[in-house]
Amino acid sequence: MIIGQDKAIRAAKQAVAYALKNGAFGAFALLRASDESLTRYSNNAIENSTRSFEPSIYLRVTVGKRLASTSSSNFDDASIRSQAALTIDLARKSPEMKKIPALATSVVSYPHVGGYDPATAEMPAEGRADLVRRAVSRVKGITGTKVYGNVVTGTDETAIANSNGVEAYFAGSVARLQVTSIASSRGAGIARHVGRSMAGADPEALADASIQKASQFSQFEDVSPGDYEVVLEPPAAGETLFHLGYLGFGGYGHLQGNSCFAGQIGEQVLSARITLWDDPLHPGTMCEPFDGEGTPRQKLSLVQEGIICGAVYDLETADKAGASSTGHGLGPEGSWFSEGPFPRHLVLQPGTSSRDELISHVEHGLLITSFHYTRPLDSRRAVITGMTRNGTFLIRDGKVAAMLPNLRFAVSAITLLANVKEIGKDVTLAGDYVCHMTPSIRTSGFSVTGKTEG
Amino acid sequence: MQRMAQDIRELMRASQPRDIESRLKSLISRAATRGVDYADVRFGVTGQEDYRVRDGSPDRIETGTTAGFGVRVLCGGYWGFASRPGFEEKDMGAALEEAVSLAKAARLAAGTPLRPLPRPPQKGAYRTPVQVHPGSIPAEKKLALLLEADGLMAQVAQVKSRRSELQFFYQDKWFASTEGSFVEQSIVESGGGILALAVGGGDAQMRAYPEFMGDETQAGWEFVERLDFVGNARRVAEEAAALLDAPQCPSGEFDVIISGSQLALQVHESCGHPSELDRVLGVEADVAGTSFLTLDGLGSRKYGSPAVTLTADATLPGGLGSFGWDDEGTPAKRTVLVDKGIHAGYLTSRQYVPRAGDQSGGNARCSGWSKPPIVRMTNINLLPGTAPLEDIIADTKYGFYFDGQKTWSIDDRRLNFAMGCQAAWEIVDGKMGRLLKNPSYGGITPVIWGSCDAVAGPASWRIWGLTGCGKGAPMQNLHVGHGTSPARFVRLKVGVKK
Repeated sequence: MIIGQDKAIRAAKQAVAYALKNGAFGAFALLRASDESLTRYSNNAIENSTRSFEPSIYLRVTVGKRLASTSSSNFDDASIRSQAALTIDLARKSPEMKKIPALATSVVSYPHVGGYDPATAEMPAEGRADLVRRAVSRVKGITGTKVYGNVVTGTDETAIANSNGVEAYFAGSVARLQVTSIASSRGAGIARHVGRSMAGADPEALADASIQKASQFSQFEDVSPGDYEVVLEPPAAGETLFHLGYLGFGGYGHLQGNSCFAGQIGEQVLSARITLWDDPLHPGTMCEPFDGEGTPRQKLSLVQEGIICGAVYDLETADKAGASSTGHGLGPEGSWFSEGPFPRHLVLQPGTSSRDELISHVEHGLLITSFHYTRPLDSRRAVITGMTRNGTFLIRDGKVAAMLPNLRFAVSAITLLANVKEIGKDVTLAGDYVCHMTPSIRTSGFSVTGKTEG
Repeated sequence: MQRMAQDIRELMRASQPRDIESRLKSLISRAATRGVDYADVRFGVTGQEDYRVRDGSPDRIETGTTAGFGVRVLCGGYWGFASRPGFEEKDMGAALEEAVSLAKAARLAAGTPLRPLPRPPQKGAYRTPVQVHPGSIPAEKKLALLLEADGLMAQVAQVKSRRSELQFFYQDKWFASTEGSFVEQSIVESGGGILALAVGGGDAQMRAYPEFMGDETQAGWEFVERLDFVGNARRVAEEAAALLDAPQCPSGEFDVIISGSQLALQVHESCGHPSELDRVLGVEADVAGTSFLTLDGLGSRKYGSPAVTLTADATLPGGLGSFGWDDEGTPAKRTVLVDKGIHAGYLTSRQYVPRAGDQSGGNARCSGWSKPPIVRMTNINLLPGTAPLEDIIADTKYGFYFDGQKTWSIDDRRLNFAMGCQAAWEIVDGKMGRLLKNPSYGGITPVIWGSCDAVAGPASWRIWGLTGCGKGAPMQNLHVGHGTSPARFVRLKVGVKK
């Protein structure tokens, strides 16, 4: 189900036009529609199949220095007309702001990123169920191991218009296929296909990788708390990058002075092996041509050989910092979970080693698949705590030697990326809305503070 | 010219079709002709109002509405669900057909077909008791309150960032099923919070009131007045500034009294989530995780000390998990999850009960019309003890009082958790003393709850609202309640910070 460029842009433009006609000085409209089909399976069988279609049109107006916004799931002409009048009325009742929010300026064109695959967007229920069937088929005959996961296909649409003449539209298809395996030993594994297209997704290969990880050992060994050398596979490395991006590169944090990189732009803080961009145009990410405010996206260098290069800004933080927006406006939804902009499409420059080579260079350490429920303990030092998940292993003499229970850790993301010894070439997309292209990394100083019991 | 809606109630009414009951019943009748084993339909109209002042300037004055429906079928023993915005007849027919085809596709990787347990038809209505509807309060008054609180926080020099918010959430919903049920419910939630961030000396410290993400309850404007942002603003700012110069909370094993609001989060993470039957059965293994509360330990597993009794209670007035019927039409119930320290029950729904039990506990909830009901928390409560909080403090020789949610993390089986709080006060010889920063604690769920030797009495017990509980695929964000009073934990492991 897709609204389409003409209808979506027309609705956003109408909202702006009606607002201006009713007395707005400035107006910003954003139409978002998510059409998500999902087939979920557990214990080797389909559990639920759902389809949700939920559009919303958001309108923000300024009247003098007064501001208000409204949103609605109705975007027919009469509804938009009423919404515009209501928004103006609400703004007139509001106290004045110190400074009204800036609007993106009109551009000739936005970067072309592709990102829409009709076969993925319109995949029927049978297509998703068949992907599940193929994944589940690989666990048949493997005693004690079961697979769990989900298959998601659909479309995310965004249309933006504002009173500066901005008109922007993007439709991206969404493809996710996840296979989680859990053995009777409680060994676990995970493998995912994430992107804008389901083409090339290989459920058998994903299932084999996931099942192998869960089933390769029959019991857990113990490990003592302490600092370890680790190989972080892409999901764990990606989450480390996420925290570094969230706590370190947001423009608001730099303005407040509580960014973990506040006052360190231009300084060597991380390993010289680390070169990092935010690249929302990268075709391997969940690419987007413009941000939630209508500013064009761009590739932005954040770390060059360990030196911190800069921060990311939306229109508000750029204005306060005397900079330009870097195309990192989150839009109205983003402000609910984040204090300002942060990079959502980090790309870490890969190295030349394979994952197995990274492991072979560890005398005594850990192999970690992914993290779970990581949260900052100390934002200023980028200290995070969390648990390992989906496969944690002991590396002994360069080989994966034993399965470990999930471990609690508390470590600075800066420490992990300052101590990097080797970077892999196995680049994988981790995450989805926040998605990072990263290979495995070998680093040290990973501090284990406890483990799961029971 | 069309008359403009005067407040959120009118906006929501404008989104409702006039003949809701007949449309619902028509769709249910149509489902019955499609050969389904069972079908239910939810119509919903959701409204919200949000007001925020940040650093002296109102930066969010927003209202919003959504309206639509979701239809769920059990067809051939398998579930299918489809939703659409609006209430057009053609969309209802299309959604029904889609739900049926989604259910039928499950045959390609099918498990054991399900049969719904029979239940008598449900009929009736539920409304949040409200003294003053928030929609009747002008926006100017709401923003004036936030600006006044903000101005008081701004008087503390070290405070570099301030936030004051009010949030109101409204949900009108109607449910019908092929069993002949028809219920309607109208929910009103009110609340908000204030927050001050102090920065200096290479450190940043935060204090919030009533909590980090605010506090909401099922009530009207009267709850906002009780919160008294203005009376607390200066204290919040001064405590944030004082934390910059406060000593670090020591690490080690100490007796710790944990405040009610922080315990609400601990109950949520370490009791609410592991009690969800879908997690226990593995249905959430791909996203949220599983649970250590496996079926074999029901009735015998030690979860905590005899001081610990936990309930799921949708019948409590005022909680964000209070209702007349859950989103499968099961009447609100009270279930004991932990009885004097022993694991005693689960959060359940009609979808999963056939695999582990005999009747639903009434815990099937959805975030709105566009998502299917899944097993969720209602109001998960730590029942109060008998001793007043003052007596528990006076009875503590040396320890700490931890307050304020700051950070939290727990493993995928809900066994190993770590919590960071906003502030701690040292307790020496039964008296609260100096302020300490960066308190944190952690450990293994049954060990920590097993060390609970006193829960404060009814005078300090209240229900807290948590509006950011995420779960499921598709992901759903839900509002839940937690009734708690402060409690003491003996030899708690303090300091997980590296």
